[in-house]
Amino acid sequence: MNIDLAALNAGALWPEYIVTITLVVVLLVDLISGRKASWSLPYLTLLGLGIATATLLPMWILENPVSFLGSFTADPLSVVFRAFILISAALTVLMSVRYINQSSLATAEFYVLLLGATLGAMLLSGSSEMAMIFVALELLSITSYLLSGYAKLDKRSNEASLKYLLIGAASSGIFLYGMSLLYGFSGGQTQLTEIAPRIVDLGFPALLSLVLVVAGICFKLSAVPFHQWTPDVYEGSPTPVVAFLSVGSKAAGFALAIRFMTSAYPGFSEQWQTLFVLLAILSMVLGNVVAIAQTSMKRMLAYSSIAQAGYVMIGLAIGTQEGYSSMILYIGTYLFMNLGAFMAVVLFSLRTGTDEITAYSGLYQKDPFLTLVLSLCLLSLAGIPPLAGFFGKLYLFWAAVQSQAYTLVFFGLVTSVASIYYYVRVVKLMLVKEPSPQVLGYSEAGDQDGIQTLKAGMLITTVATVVLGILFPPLISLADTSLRATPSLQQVRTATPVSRVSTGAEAPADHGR
Amino acid sequence: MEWVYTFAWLIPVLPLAAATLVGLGFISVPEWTKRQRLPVAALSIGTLAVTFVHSLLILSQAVGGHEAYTWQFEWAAMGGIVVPMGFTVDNLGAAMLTVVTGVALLVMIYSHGYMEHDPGYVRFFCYLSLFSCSMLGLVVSPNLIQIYVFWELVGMCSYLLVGFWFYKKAAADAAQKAFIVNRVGDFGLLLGILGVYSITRTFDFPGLAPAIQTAIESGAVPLALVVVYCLLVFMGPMAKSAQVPLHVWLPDAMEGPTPISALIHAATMVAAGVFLVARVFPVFSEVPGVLEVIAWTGAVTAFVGATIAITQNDIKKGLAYSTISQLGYMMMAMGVGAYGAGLFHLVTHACFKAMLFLGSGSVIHGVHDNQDMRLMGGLRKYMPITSATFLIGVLAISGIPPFSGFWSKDEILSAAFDHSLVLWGIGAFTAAITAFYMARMYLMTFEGAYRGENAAALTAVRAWRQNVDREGVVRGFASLPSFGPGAMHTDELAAHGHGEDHDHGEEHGHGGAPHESPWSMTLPLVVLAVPSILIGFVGLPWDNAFGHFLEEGSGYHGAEHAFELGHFLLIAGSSTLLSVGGIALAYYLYILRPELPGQIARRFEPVYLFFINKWNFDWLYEQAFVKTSRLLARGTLQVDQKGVDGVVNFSGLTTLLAGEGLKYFESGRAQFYVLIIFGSLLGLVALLGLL
Repeated sequence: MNIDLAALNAGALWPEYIVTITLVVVLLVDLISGRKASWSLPYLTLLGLGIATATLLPMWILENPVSFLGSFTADPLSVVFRAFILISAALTVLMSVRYINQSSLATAEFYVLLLGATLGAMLLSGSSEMAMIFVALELLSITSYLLSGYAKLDKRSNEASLKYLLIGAASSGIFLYGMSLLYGFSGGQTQLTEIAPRIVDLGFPALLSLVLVVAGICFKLSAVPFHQWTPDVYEGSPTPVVAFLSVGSKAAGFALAIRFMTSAYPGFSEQWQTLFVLLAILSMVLGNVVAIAQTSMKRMLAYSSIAQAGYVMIGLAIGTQEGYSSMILYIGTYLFMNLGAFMAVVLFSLRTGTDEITAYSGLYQKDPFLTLVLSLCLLSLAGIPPLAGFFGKLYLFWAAVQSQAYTLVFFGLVTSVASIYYYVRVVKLMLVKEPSPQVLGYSEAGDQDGIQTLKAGMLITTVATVVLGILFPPLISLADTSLRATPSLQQVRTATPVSRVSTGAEAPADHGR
Repeated sequence: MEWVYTFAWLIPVLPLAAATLVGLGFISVPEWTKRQRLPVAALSIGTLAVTFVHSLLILSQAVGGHEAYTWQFEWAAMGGIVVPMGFTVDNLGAAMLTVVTGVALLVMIYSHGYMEHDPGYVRFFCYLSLFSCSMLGLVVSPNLIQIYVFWELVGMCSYLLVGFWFYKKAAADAAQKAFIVNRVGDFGLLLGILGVYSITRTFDFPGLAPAIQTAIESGAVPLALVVVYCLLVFMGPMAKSAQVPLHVWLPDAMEGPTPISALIHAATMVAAGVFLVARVFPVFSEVPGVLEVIAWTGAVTAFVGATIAITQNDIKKGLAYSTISQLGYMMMAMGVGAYGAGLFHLVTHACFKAMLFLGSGSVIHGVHDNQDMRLMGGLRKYMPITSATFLIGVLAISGIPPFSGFWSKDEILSAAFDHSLVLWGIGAFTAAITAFYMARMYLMTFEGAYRGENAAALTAVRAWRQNVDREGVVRGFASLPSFGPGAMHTDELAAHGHGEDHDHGEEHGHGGAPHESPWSMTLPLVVLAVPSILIGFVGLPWDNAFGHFLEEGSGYHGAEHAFELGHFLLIAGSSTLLSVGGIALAYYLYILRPELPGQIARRFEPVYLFFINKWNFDWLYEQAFVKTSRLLARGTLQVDQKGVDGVVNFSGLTTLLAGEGLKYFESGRAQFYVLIIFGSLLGLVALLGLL
């Protein structure tokens, strides 16, 4: 087989190459220098992630996004999600330094695994061919299983890892089965865009594959009813890993969901939108309601992340351009506020050794900075103005109102009210109540290296949470541009029954708001 | 001298700067700022003096024939609606600026004496500057939106100043009443502005009338709708200028310090309503029926105000009802098309009514915070300057030639006579009543013997409390004072009790003989006396310089008549005769036969009670609005507490219980989780299959 190297368009994957190189460098440095150089590994990782981000951004709009013969599409949609993943990985590194040092675990492996997961997630965001999708998904999944079992001396971590592996394997099986059905129905095609026209008239068999694929993806999104692993895994895993899973892994899942649905199932948009409406409602209701009853901060944040995924799915379920752009925006804001909350949890558990919600009471008297960060992030998650989360929700709900999805808006609003209860309860505990025994024994004396990076991360996420809300109009236009330059989404718009345009070429012009 | 126009924006901005400076001081270093009495007074008075000179320069230019000057910029634009801001100075504006800055300047100087011992001295000057800024901004507003903004600002300043002694319950209540009643009018005004905008697509004053005219002529808009919009706009002036039935706030507003009553509630702010009507007069005159409504509202207000004023014993309340009555005259003038006459009366009234109020303040100051005229009398001996200026004011308002009030009132009555005999009749009769009650006020205050330490008088006044029930309604004649009808409102007596609360006057030593006020208080009186006597001569019926001045500026020519001596003599002669008759009657009743008024009041008890209870407006509003809204509020509270709270608590409880229940599905067993995944999968497939 003769392959023209130029036709591969391999340059589109430079960020991924850099992540891979960083991974190798970290491994080698650890191998050669051993313990002496272990302090430098997080900074090496950060450097690599930074360079990757720097190379990614100029790729904003590529002349030719299709690379590796259609296996990977480096369109603006993928760029946005890859950027999200890189940022969340970098922030995860910031919060891991002290955590890994303190738990006296091997340093290098952690960063290698984290970079591996990042690589998998990035590849997943751009994959447009089924074999590539599955490989990327498995890379992300397997590194995630390893990361969640990283605290190998901790029984809960082992349990989390095992559970994650078992349920993940089952989900992968379901996903793979769905894809194999697609492969068969389409007569041996693996390109998503090639599959679409061949299954349009298929009816139920295609729907069967649709449900299987959606179930596989929803495992990654931890959408109800495919969510049950989430609280257990989040509780047992090391907290920085949980932070990455709840943001980076989910972002990749959403990128996959958008691409898979719009590329392979444009003819079944009504059906998959119905599915996501249902899943979104279930996730919002169950996530928020059960979060109220939690006593552990990490479990509460786990259910909160289920509910937040439900909100993001609103954008997917309405399937309009406004829906996608508000979805992207919401993931962007969710990234900062959720990671900020997890950073606060990491810092608190480093100093007190507990994740119990009641232990947070009276924290304001001992550590106003931590209280401020956690309060702002939780309030933003609850959607309190003028923080970023409020505007994110506002745009999501507004997009839903515009496409007459009033049921979704109703559930979104009602469950938001319920969510305020459990988020604000923590804020109230910290500000109003008398200090708990843990807080009374709270001390910053044991702080060593690594705390500063954690604090820097907290500062970054908090500032972003506060400032992003004000910057929303430019961000909206950014999201809009990225969507307009993404061909697969334009195709979907023409195929959507509610579409207001007749041809794809006119779509961007028509959509000028 | 072009700069006096291009820099006209300085006129509202300078007082604002003073207010801001003092306000910032209050925020940052309150204790220190409170002690800076003289600097603050100098700053406020100085900035206002500058604006006064500036206004005079503009006026001189305008008289010299300078064209109107307008400058606007685009303040906000959204969805095709452009809201401009800026300033405009035309002849009407120039005249108003001069009046407002002049009166405000004198009131500020007066306040220096009046508020000398008040702990809120600095705050008072800060509010006064803020008010001056708002009022001047209102005058120079080039469009409806901007005038609305300043309209609300003067309303707010009025609220702050009426409630200046907020620790007095009566003052706090009065401030709220003033604010709420004005809100009723402002609500209509805003609706009206938006309604007019929907027709004209512009807020600018010059563009309104032609657009309305085109709309009416082309039939694009139903005439009834235009009438409704215009009447809605008129609701604003109705509340601000205290026209019946929205006049109830003005008498209560007398709880504020007397300089405020003079400045805001006599000379300037209450005239803003008349001013706004003058601004949109071209619009109103396009729409049939609107002017008629305005004329009748004004006539009724003039009559109601005058009849109530007869029965008042509180010197400030009496003046307040007199103000309502005079504002009614101005509105009536507008309504009958005598645009120039209405504004002329506005100007003359501003001078003599400000002087009267400041005079009453001087009296109250001199007799140690007593406001009840039944406990005054004979003050001419003690306060010669105050009494002389007060007498000038009385003669001016009564329409005795050649004082200013005669000329302006005569012009209004003459226009009313041409328009409708009934309106003229009401106006002329009201003029007679006006002369009567003003003379009564003067005689009770300054003539006869001082009754402040007369035990019989004190007992009689106290006895009056028996006649007044808790809601302030006078029930009848349980006991009658020997000198003149009248009842003390319970609040008024309470106000006396509180007189000592606001510290001013305390240091003068209570009791003892009345005394003349310091120069800073008498000087403004003397200064104001000059225009009160002379300003009428700019509007002589045979050489109406003021009327021409306004018409040149506005380009609008009202109903103008060639001067006819016979006509003039008929109107002027009859109204002068009526006024003289009123004064003579007052002299007869209150000096020659002081026992008669009581007997008359007893004889016509129902009428008397009707008047002294202010035509029962307050009682009616209490029953109709206050009580029903309380009832509604209570009902809503019930619904909220039982219904809404119930739903909230129930849903909260359900959510909590659901959360507690659902969390047990998290069994922790991986095989169970996988079971659920496959179960859901089947469910979803079945669902899509069925769909």
